[in-house]
Amino acid sequence: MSKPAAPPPDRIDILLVDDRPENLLALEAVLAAPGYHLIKANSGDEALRYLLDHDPALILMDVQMPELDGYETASLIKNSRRTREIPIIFVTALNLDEQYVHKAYDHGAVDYVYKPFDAHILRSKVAVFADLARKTKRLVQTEILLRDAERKERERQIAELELKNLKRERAEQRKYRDLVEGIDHGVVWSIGAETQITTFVGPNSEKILGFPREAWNAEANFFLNHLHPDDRETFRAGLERTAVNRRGMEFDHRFLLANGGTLWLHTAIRRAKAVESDRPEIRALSVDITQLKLAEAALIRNKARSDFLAAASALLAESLDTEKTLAHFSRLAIGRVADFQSVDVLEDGATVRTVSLDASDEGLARELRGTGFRFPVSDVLRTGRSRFVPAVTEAMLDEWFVDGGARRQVGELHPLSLIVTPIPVRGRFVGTLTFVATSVPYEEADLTMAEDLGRRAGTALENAALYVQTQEAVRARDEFLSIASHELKTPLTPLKLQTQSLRRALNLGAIETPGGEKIIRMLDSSDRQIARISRLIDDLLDISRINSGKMQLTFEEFLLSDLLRDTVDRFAEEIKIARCTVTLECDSDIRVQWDRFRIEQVVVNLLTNAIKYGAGSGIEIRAQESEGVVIFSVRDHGIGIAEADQARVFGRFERAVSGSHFGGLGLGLYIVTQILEAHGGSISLKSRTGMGSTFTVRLATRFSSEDRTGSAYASPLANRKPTTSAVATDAPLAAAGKH
Amino acid sequence: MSRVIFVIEDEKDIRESLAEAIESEGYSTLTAPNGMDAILMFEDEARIPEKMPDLILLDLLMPRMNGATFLERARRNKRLAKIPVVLMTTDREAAQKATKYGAAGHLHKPLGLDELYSTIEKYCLH
Repeated sequence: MSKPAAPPPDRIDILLVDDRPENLLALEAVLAAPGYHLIKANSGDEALRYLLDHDPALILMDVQMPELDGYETASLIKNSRRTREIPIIFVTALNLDEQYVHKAYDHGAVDYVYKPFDAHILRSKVAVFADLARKTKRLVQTEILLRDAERKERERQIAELELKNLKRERAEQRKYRDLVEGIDHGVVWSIGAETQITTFVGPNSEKILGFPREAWNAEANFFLNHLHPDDRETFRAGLERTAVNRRGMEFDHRFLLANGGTLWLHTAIRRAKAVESDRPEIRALSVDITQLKLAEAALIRNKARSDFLAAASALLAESLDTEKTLAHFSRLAIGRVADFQSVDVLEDGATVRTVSLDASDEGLARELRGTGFRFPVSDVLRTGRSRFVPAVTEAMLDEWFVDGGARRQVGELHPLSLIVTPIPVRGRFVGTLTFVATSVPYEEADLTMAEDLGRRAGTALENAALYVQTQEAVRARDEFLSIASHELKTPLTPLKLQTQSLRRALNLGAIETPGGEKIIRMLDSSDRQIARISRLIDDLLDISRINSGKMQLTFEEFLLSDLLRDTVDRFAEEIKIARCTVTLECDSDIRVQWDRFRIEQVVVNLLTNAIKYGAGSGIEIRAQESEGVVIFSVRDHGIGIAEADQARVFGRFERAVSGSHFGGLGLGLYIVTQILEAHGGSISLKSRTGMGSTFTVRLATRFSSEDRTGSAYASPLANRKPTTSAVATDAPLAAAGKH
Repeated sequence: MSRVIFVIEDEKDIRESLAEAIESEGYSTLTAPNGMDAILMFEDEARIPEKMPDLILLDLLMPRMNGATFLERARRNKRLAKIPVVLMTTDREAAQKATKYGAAGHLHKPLGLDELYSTIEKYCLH
């Protein structure tokens, strides 16, 4: 039995098993073919031994053999897992009894060949199995090849992936490095959390901080040591906390540069493990935020400026007490836009007087106020141009302050920056505003603000002066009116007495004279004209009283019906002349507590208006009381008042009808309104052109400050004594349209 | 016996018109051109009039001594203290002024005969 070491592929190994050599030879002769490799075994035992380490494609086996016969050998072959699948063809000379055939198949045979065998059939059968074996073998080889290819592909892919990862990792590292090194406005650095020794510094350190990387290694706590002293403690505490805390921290702080300058940095720190040593370290990124801080500071200063400008403008506009206002103005400036502020004004065109002066240091301000201390302002006063000194030098101070005391004082003030700006009033420069800063220098924007304030101060001074002049003029006018009315009335008194005496004498027949009737009519007319002049004078005086807040009310209790009837009776003559008829409807028991004389004035005004504008028609006067409120109205059927003019008639010097046709000063309804408001009452008008007018007065029966709070009777006199009252000065401005 | 009305008024025309009108109704009058003259008439024993006035009509604004001062002095004079005084003023606020200076009544200039007579009647009856 030969044992080929490496059978060529596609070779079919066929095991021939027979105890007789001649049979083996015969089989060999029949089956000899180029593709077959024939292995001969002389017994079942030998066959089995061969099969221990060979896998023939087919076994041809004699059934009848000594010791192990064909069946027993086949059974053993079939029992082995490795050889179980090898097809076995039995070659037998036994009879064709079916029982043998069955036994053979039971023992794993796939086919039968009878001796003496037909060579052709044997070859054909073997060829079938050889072909099958060859195909199977190919399949197995293909599968192996496939598996192999698959494995190789996978390995290739993995390799590719690893390569890619490696590339990406490298790219990321490069990117990170670029990033760290590319932060040109920041420095990345790290220190040992326990040692405080620098473990890494970004390449920007020299560019941004002025310190080369080596400087960081020269000392522990390098970064901390170079912080602004004011920020150092906070940062140190932050480092200590970060060393034990998971959460990082961030700071805005100042850093002292190598060149002695200062930089604002925003530093974010966090704890991490050092890559090399696995020791805890603190990593930091410090970014230059100086520009941001400057912008922020500028923003804050701008806000302070505009806030101050708004507050100062309001202050200058609201008050007319110049001295107080300017003192307040100086105080307002301190701490906001200045550390020293003074207002100096030119008096009599020659001497400069300090109106107000204030400083951050109140003690110093007090001392300066007492000594006539002043920054030089005369140039500014003369030229009207501001003086702006962003950086005040010692030499300047020496030049400005010749007096030793003042030089010492200004030294205590430590002026850094100065603005002196003029206060213009109508093209002249009447004073100056001086602003001094001791910590942050002034900029152009501060100058603009100061000049704006100078102009506003000018307007305020002008307004105050005008107000004083106006007040003086008003006082002079009121005094004049008071004297004038007295003087005008003095001649009227004897005139009236004499006219009336004369008429009386004529009536009594004391003077017998021809044309007496005519003289009586003339005297009556004189009497009426005297009364009219007298009323006009009274009106003028009342206006001046109302304006100066001097109208006094004297409250007394009386029956409204008495007052109305008396008044109508008093005007009987005028009513008759105007061809009017007056209807009076008044409840007889309306008891009121008013200023009788002033309310009578109201009724007289309304009645004379009705007579004047409603001549030739009926006049109705009605009065009624309901729940403590009296409503009385005077209605005429005259020319009426156009809607557009209705609000206006209650104003001063206003008449519904223009021109001199109806006479009068146009003060009556204005005075009426003032009197009623002083009583806590009101008046309203209902009228249509050509349809007459109705004036309606509403007035509480009793003037009481308590029950008028928040009611319809709000008047400028609320909360004053109920017995005596005065019309407030500001009432006339709001009189029109209040009814 | 006729009542006596004391007219204190600096304006001659007014003073005389008033006196005339008052006398034409049957009253007697005394006159003075200012407060000082008026008060002296009752403080100087030698000058005291035979008949005491029943009513004083007093102007407010006068030279030498005005109505207000006269009223103050009159209140301290035992002869004048009880005589009612009617204050005559040119403005509509005569009432307030009368109350303020302690006068019994008031007249508003220019005054008419009716007001004059009714005022005299009113105060002389008391």
